[in-house]
Amino acid sequence: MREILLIRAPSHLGDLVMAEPVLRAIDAHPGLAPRLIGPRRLIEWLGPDLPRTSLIALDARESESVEHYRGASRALLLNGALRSPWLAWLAGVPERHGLGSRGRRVLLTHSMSAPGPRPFASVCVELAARMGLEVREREPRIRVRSQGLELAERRLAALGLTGPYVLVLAGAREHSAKGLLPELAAACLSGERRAILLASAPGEQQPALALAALLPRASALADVGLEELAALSARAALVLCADGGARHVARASGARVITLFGPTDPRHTSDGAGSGPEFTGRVPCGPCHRERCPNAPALRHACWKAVDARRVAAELASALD
Amino acid sequence: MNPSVVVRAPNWVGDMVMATPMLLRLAQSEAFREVRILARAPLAPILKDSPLEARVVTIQSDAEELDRYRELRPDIALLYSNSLGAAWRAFRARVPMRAGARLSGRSWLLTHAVSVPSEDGRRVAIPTAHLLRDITGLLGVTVADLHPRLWVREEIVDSERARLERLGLAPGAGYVLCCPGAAYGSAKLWPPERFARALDLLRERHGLRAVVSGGPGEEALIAAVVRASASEAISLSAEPRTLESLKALVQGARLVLVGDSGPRWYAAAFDVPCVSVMGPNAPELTASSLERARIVRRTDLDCAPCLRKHCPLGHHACLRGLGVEAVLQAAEELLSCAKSC
Repeated sequence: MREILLIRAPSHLGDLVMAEPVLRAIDAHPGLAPRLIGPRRLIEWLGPDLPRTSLIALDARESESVEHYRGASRALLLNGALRSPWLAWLAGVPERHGLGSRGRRVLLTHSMSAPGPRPFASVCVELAARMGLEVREREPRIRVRSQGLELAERRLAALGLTGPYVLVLAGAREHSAKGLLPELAAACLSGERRAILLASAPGEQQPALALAALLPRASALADVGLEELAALSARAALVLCADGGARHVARASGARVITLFGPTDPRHTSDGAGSGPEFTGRVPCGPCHRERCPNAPALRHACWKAVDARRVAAELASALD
Repeated sequence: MNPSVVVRAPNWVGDMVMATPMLLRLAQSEAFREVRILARAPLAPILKDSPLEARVVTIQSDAEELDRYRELRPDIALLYSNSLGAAWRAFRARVPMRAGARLSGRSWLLTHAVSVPSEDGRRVAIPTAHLLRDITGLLGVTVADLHPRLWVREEIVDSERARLERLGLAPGAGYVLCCPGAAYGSAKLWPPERFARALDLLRERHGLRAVVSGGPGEEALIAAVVRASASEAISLSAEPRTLESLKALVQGARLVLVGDSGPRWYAAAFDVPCVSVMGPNAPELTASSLERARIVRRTDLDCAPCLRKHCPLGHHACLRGLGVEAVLQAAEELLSCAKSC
């Protein structure tokens, strides 16, 4: 009989994609019956690529419960919440693996502190290795599915985009400091002669609209879902983006990606051969990882402003040649 | 003015090969005026013919290491060697910034340190490549691709092939390169007769002739494997063997069969399938670049991994109790994948 391994998926898109090689290795392990629990939007999207893994999808307002953990002999908790090891403990899961931060250590049988800025993908591989699971392929891989492709093709056709384009993942929550600064993106793309497509996820179109105003030649697509994002990325000549979840989807879909870093630390995410060129502006206040820039107006978004747009433009040009 | 960096290279062959992606990134970085690599002289051939070769400064002794620091006067010493001595010498040479892993009780000697992951205050084994990457990150340099890389000149490749043909390998024939030794200690040695049996079966089932090689001082071990083999294994024990010629031997092999030692990383660098027979080591320490590698080890022992150089219990069950079949199965899996993938 196969051993039931419960995996608590990360709650953020980027982390989930970085954990994908581990999830794939577990899915392929003949001795394991994996169960993956996590936000519906994320795990139902990744689920078809994990055919042997059963999914427990949580709706937006739904919390995981102790019942979800019952029957598992091991739990691999790849999120950062205290609730997950607590529920695993209550459910009597004998072996509980995860990061010991935020007071979780006392609830885990095998915890690991991960001091310093370390790539999340590496941490997942290390946690899996401690469970005796070998992860041979380390590059995240997202299969572009037909429904995403069809939708993307339809919307691209409606925009009149039939040839190659540069995809700019321009979305971010309103006022978030983590999204591409429109002025910076516009400066990077000002000399670009290819078609430019600005894409944003539902509820994240504000910065994309600001960028569209600065780049009148660009086309914009709002409300882009994950399936469509993977298809648009795979079809793009190049993707320009900030360090967010969409970046990881793009690179896992096989796109060539150039990443600009604002308030986040590249050492958390730079993992895997497919990361592509990265540009960081070095400032004394960063990387701060703040959702909102805490600086006074004169210094606001100093990290973004410190990114050298000319070098990014040169990289774009050489990558597209 | 941008700072200059001296990287104190690791002292083990495998670790040096694992460090190549970090060294290449540092060399490419525009953030530094100069990047030099301080390496023990016997390990310098590993970086020969690479874009890093001109940056290598060799050292024969601890005293010479200190002298080189004083000559080069770097702004930063980046320590890939985790020893106390490496940090002490950078400190004594008054290198202003000394960055490395917080290990071997040397935190007080470092100005910038990476804390390794731990559980209940004890170090958790993580891949050495991850640690080297994290140490490099102390300088703000990110390394995305951890796959090692080595370079070898065509003349060396041609001369090694000619040598193998002179020793009896048919022109164009595939071979299995076997390196049964381990500089670390006797605890890492799989019995020579098991290596020999695995090589015989690979010859019988896949027609691959065995070539047996090793490092300096491993002549007797090479001879023991060849003697125990019934399939005309080619011995390189009486031939000159260097870390440079090993690159050509590995690159030309269809399969590499090794203990848990440096040649495994040569195989990773050249994308050659490799079976590594592991005894007392923790597999987590070397769990990177596994795409074409199979690690064969016993998982049913309470005493392993002990990380000792010599078996403290005397039975050496981790390797003496490891049969040929598991090794052969791993080799066949890799060979069939190499054909079909």
